[in-house]
Amino acid sequence: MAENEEKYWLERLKEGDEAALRKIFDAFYPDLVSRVLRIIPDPDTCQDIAQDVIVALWNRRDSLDIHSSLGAYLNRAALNRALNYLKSRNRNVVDASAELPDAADVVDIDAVSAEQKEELESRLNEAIERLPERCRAVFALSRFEDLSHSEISERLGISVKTIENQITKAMKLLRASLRDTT
Amino acid sequence: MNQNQINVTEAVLAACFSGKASPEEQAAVKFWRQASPANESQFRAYALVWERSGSFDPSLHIDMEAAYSRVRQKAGLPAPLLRAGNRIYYLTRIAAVSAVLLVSLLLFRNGTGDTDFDQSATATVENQAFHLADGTVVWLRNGSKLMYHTPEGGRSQRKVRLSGDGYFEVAHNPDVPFRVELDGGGTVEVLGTEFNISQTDSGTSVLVKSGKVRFSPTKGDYPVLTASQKAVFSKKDSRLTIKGAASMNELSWHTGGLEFVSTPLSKVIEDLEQFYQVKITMKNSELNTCLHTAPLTNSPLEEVLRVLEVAYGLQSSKVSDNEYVLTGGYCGR
Repeated sequence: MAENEEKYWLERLKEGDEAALRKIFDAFYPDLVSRVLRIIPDPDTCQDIAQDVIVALWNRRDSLDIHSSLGAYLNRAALNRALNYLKSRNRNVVDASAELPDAADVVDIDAVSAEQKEELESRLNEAIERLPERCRAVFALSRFEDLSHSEISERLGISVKTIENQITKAMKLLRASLRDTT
Repeated sequence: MNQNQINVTEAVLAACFSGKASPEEQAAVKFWRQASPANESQFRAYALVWERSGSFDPSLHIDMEAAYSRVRQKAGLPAPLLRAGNRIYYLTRIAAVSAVLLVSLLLFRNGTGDTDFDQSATATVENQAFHLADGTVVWLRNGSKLMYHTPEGGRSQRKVRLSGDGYFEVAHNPDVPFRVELDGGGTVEVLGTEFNISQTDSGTSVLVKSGKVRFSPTKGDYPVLTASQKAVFSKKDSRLTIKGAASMNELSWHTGGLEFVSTPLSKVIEDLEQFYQVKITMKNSELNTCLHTAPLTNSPLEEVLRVLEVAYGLQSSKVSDNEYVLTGGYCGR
């Protein structure tokens, strides 16, 4: 959505026009879902979170005060909800500790062709999908969101040490997934 | 040495790659890399893991109508409105509400009427408009043919027969369903809405721009199609496939240009290639899933490419008469 288009629909939204809600939903919803899906691998939960973000925008339309772009605002709102969700689940998640291979290498990094890079990407994608739940969430938060280890620790209520361990574990598992690439 | 007090773990490397490492950590990593070739090679392996994992973008088929009705429900908005064409939706919501009730009635009413048409029209140019007595407008592709009734005789049905391809803007009349019989077999039954029918030797495809449509390629129960859905019937295996349309640009013959609403860049490139009849190669596959939105345009290709350059930091170069290469670039709003 272009900036001026965004302004227009936001104004209409503030006036309580449902057409604006639909327009904003169409423009941002799919993106919000896939962003959250990187962190939380459960489609229903992600759709729920993205819906709640849009609903909150509607419910607070009278008092909205958005300084960034609408996209950035919604992304931040979705991230906050995702973090709250993860925090609320913290207690229940037990991560089976996977046996970590100590990396003996792997790939001749300098000789990776463009074709092999695509192959690497698809291997990595599969490997991220296979990461244990909490490990994946922590890795994705560090990789895709603008959060430092201590910020992640604070937001999830988990110690920095644990965050670092999870990231280390994720990195090792992902690197191992590239093992038999030639 | 101070640097040695920081243990260089994978997490410290990750912090480094994401630009979140403290100066102390950065120094420690630098020191560690220089300590042995093995460390340097480890560093590079992890750099590769970090960089390539950036393309991770799990995909999901989203039922937009279902999701939006959840949003309305959660927001406590009253019963859903039928989205019958933007104009109708914005201007006369009351009419739209009454349409909801009637869709369900009419879609399931099996009318019987005579099918011998007394009028016919064949398009002699691309996108030729034909106005029917009830206010419906049909745009035909060159060579496509429409058969219809004269209005007298008080027919209880609006019914036409289509050979070829046509874009329909059906006049809103909740009392009388509009029905298109297809040369390629089957029928499409609708109330005020906009949709496209395309018939080829291999099958028929129906793309719904707004409103609701039922496409029945054969006798039997078929689901109702909603906005942005596309149903393709393959004659070969008699299968009907319904999917979300990634863009509406197969209507470019009718709209005269391309428009994109949260369309993945890979599809944008495909549509541009088709519309401008060129070959475009985008080198950076990370951009394939970026979602692009742009209003309807039929500007020269160079201008369209320039917009992409600015939006995604791309460089475009013309490598031959009808071949372009896009390099570099990044996603991001």
